[in-house]
Amino acid sequence: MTTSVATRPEASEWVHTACEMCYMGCGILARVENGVVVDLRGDPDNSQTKGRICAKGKAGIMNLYNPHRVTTPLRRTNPEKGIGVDPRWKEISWDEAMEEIAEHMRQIRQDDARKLTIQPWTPNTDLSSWFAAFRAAFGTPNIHSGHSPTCGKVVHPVEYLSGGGFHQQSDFHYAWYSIHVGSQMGVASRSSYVHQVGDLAQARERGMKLVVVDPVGGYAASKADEWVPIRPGTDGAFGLGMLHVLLNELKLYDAQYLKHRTNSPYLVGPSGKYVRDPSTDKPLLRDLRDGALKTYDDPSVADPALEGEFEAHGQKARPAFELLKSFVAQYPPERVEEITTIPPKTLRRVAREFGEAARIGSTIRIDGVELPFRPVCVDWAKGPSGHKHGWNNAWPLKLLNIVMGAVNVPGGILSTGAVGKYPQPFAPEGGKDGLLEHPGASLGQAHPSAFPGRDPMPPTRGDIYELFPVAGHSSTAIPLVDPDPQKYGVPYRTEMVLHSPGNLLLGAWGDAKVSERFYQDKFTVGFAIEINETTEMDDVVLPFPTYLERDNFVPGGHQFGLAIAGDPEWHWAVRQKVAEPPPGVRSTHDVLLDLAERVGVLEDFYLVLSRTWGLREPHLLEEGGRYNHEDVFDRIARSWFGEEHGWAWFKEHGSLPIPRDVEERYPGPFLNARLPVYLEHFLERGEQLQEVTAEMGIPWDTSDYAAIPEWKPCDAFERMKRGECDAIGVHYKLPYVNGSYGAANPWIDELCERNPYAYAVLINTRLAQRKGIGDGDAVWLESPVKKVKAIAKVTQCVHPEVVGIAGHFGHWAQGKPISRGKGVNFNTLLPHDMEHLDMITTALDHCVPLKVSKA
Amino acid sequence: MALDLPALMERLWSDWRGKPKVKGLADAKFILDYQVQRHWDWRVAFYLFGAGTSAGLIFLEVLLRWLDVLEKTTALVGMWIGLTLALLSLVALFDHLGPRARWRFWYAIRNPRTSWISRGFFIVAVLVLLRIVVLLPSVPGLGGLPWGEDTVGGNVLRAVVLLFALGFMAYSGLVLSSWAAIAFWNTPMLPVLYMGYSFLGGMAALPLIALVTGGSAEVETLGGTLWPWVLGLLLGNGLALLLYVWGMATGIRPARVSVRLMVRGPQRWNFWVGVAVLGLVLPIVIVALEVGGVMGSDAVANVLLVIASAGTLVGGYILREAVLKVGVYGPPV
Amino acid sequence: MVRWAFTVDLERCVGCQSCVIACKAENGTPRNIHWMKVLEREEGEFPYAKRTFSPTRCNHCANPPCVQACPTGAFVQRKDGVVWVNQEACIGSMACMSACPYYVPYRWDGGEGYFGQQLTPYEEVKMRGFKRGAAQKCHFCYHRLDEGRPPACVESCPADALNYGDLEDPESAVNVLLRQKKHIQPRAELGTNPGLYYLTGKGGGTIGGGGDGRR
Repeated sequence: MTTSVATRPEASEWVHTACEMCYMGCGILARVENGVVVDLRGDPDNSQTKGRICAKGKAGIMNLYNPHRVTTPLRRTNPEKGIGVDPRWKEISWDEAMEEIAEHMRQIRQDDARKLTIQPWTPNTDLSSWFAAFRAAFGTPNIHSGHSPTCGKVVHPVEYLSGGGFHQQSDFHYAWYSIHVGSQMGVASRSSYVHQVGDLAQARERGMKLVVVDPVGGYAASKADEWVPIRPGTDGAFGLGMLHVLLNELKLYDAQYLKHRTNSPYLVGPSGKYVRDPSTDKPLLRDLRDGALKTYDDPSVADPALEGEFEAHGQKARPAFELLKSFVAQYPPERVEEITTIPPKTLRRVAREFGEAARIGSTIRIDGVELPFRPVCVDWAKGPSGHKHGWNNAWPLKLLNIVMGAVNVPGGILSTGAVGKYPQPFAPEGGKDGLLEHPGASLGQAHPSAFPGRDPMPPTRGDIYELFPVAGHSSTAIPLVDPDPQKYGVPYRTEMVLHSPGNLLLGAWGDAKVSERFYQDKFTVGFAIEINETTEMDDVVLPFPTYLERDNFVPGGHQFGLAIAGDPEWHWAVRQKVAEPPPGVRSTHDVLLDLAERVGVLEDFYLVLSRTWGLREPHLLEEGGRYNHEDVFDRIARSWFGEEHGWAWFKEHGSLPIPRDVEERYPGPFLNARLPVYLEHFLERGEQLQEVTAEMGIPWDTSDYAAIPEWKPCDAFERMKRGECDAIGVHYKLPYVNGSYGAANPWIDELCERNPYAYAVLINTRLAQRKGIGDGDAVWLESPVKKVKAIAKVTQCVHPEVVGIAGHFGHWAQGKPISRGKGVNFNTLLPHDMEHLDMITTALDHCVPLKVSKA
Repeated sequence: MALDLPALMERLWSDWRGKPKVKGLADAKFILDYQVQRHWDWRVAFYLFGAGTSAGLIFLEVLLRWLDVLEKTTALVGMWIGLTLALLSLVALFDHLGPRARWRFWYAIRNPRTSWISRGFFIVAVLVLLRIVVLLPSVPGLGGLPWGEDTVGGNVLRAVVLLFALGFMAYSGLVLSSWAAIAFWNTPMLPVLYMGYSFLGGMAALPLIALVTGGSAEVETLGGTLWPWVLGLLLGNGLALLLYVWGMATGIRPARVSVRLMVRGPQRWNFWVGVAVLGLVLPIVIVALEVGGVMGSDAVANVLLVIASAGTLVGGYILREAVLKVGVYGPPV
Repeated sequence: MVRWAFTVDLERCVGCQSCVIACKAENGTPRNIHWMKVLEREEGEFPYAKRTFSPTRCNHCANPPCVQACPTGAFVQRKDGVVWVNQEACIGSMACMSACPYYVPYRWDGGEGYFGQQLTPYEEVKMRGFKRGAAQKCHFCYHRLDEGRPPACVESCPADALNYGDLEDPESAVNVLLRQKKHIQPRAELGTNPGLYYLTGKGGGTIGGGGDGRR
């Protein structure tokens, strides 16, 4: 008799659904036996997962059957609120809970609807936009989109302005030389994980060189051909140094591309602004063929000058590229070494390899279309952007791709979600000054573009978004403005918060004392799967279904902004419930519909939903109609994909494959707009901001609003230099942990226990020796706002000035017994004040000065 | 549903016994490195020591009775003590074996073709049975059984006992040396050493038993024959141990790691104080003095000789435990 | 005849542990038991240091020391090379644990579920396959092999680092890879002839801790 094999009862079936162990929503199949989910696997019919699944995804079963889940509405009975204070929950009925919430909302709406703040983050599902629609129907502008204190804060504005899509990805299909700066894409992190890992493995096997510039010798560095350790917060200097070597020393750049597809030839006057044609107000350039000044869109332009100095309309004018070139000359490798610790030899070699691998001038034929072939790219994500001067740190890295002509072309850096056909055809388009002004987005942009930006004005929103005219969102300002909104001219204060299960107190901001204060004196309502640190601050808790008990028309990032770029196929996939939720757990979509009705905003909610989701006749939500979430999904599906592809079709088939043509895969050559190398509009935005804030009487640093950003040191860098701290704490990701809900999964927890690096903090052997710390010793880490005990992993695989802290650990909530007290929570070590925000993007500084000692 | 008696017993036993203790490497970190085996603990060491010593003991008793060196009472008591020791060591083994083994131990007979454990099970089972059979005539009322001392049946029986006792002594080393996975055990030196130690254990136990049954006079009678042999065996075992450890210290990497754990690592006190000083050096000095006739025969000498014997036995046990505890696997890749 | 074997491409593996959890989910192994593991080791000195990842599991050796050592015949080698444990026959002697150079088999002595005493519905289903006090280990997902499906670890691997196939079939995935890439059998010097080949890339090398003469 066989005994050690998985049992196989007859009553079993595979059901198409989608994962939610990170924010991508990979298509998966769930094996259900007699109502019990016994296996999850990648859906082979899904072009993103191709049957693959990661550790987090497989472990989802344990989240489903977590006995510590919330299955009934709860009400706080302890009036005292705070970290570590027992809320003394009392179980209440749904009706009681909903009525209490509705009553609060009705009162607020009568008073000032803006006093409600909604925190909608569900990992990129349609539910986030349902929350957003509820917000609009309710009439408050206060929505805290995004989740982490860096979440896309730099990359989305950069990408919208210089790529046309939501995020960026290296094109592993064709790349030959890929530099990943503070990014473990395709190894341990980033969107479309299971897809990217396969693509990168294939690319490495084919011979692509992978260079990882990172303070931590983590997973990516370990798989790279070369790990270049860098001092944290100095990525911008690395980028500027690379630009210097390429532009000034090697003169390796795609001149044709820069002349015709960027604003490089635009003439810039002494003020730093473009020299414009007096009659059309269009920027001018100088055509070398006839020596004439022409507007950038003059059809006779043949050979625009990139260098030199000319007289133009009575001003000394120089092409933008000339300014860039001479600006980056301030960053010779020898100076860059002082900043970054990267040896000049290494920098020069990497720059040369990068420049030569670009094969400037070469083309490739794909699907019968000839395209520029630039198989080099610099990829970055959270690492370089999470800094006081995050924009300055990240933008030079993007410039490296632009000067190589390697944007949205085979082998280069690709913009995600920039071009598509559903629900209607969309693509990025040019606008003001011939530059990329309108990014491509299927359902409207998730965030505004950084170009041309918005006119700053005295704020009326709790996140003082009006004072960040080129930012995507400014959620890190929320808890800083909240104690005294008047100081920033905001005429009201948030009184009620409605939030999703996302654990914002631990994940959204820095210093927990700052976050605690935000929740402490408000009526807060949270949806919850388990009682996490944020939920512990709530007044009313509503149970939330796990992803395997939930329907979503948009299961995650694959569907919109984060779909794999460059792939020949895309798809629409949905999530459907594969297990019945415990009694007492309701569909959150339906709860929102219920709430809207109780508050009296249901008709408006319908209207916003119909508009947001592009519903078409005859599928609009009608006044007086009563719908559940499946009715709404069916209407969306039919509006988008035709009558034959209703919600039932998606439930049966899981995903609808949608082939992409070459314009969708590589939109660069088809874009009717130029990309910027010189951010002229930043100057104007900075001046406007200066005026507005002066008028308001608040000091405001606008010095980062420069057309070419310089590298600037962050607080931790200065403190290290002054010898005030022992190391800079940085965060890095583990491939099997994403978000805090993974850490409460006992399978994942067990992995973290087994891996000597995961729950420990990485300390370089040299620093350890100096401090007398041995491998496995307990150590104290003291940041300016928090002191924590940790276990040291003494290793060669981290920069000697750095302490590496992984994952999303360090929980203290009673409702998370598995992850409680394990590992170190990185975010709450971070000082959180205006001095630590990037004044362009509001990214919170993720370099944390640490004192390290043996415990 | 039929009553599954083994399963029921298993449940009752483990309810009483509490949490499982054997971990193996199940909770080891996911690192590619040398790993110390952790599944064979002191209970297995006690089994190898106890059963080995008792095999040595019965071997000597049978032999010395034939040579007429040993008093009948001493031999008899010794045999009972030996049997008890063997049974005690089996109790330790069974406690260490999992809940399944306790009620299904006879399955172990199924694979003697390739498995040393299987062979060992056969040998130890037969040996214990034989020893019970040998002792039966000494039970009051059973004296008439036809295999008492000096009967033909008795002699044949005792010859078989000698054979199986030898077999077990060899087995206690062979069971470890048969596996390539743990380099420190995977050497023919180990069966040689363990055989030597089993004999030595038996020899060291005899004077103690004689002291109990016949007082110092008996020890003196026995000692005349025994002490030179003990001395020789002590010296021989010391040499074998030296050769073994030295050989391993110049062997492949996992073996060298084991040696380091033994002489410099966590087992260093056990090895130097327990095995070397208590188990070898001290007994050698005392027994040499005795053999050299320097000791005389007063009470102090007896105490010293008891100390030497006890030290030898304790050293024998500590050796078994230390050898198990420094068993190291090489990296699996 | 068929002889199933695995390949592990050490260049492709990124240490993501997907196979580890895939195995767990497929076979429902109890707490503390991992049939599939990805072992790590650090190599080199800063700044030329890196971590290497070596997936390990039962190698289904052609000459399996566990089968030889097992006193009860609970370790069974199928004709297709799969070595599995008949837990009914196992008495927990732990001979296998000492014999296996890859320290693969463990005796499971029981214990709580992943959330304590109360088992989840999933565990209720899966734990039926485990006998307390018996050895257990990777069985090549032979229930899947027999259905023509790949083992769970191979199926899940996002990097395509894990593969399997029939060594007797020259066109099998395993043989194709062995012809393309340098490879080593782990601890081949012990004569176990493991059914596992670590692929070390076109250029060979010391990636992933293989073949560096540390033994």
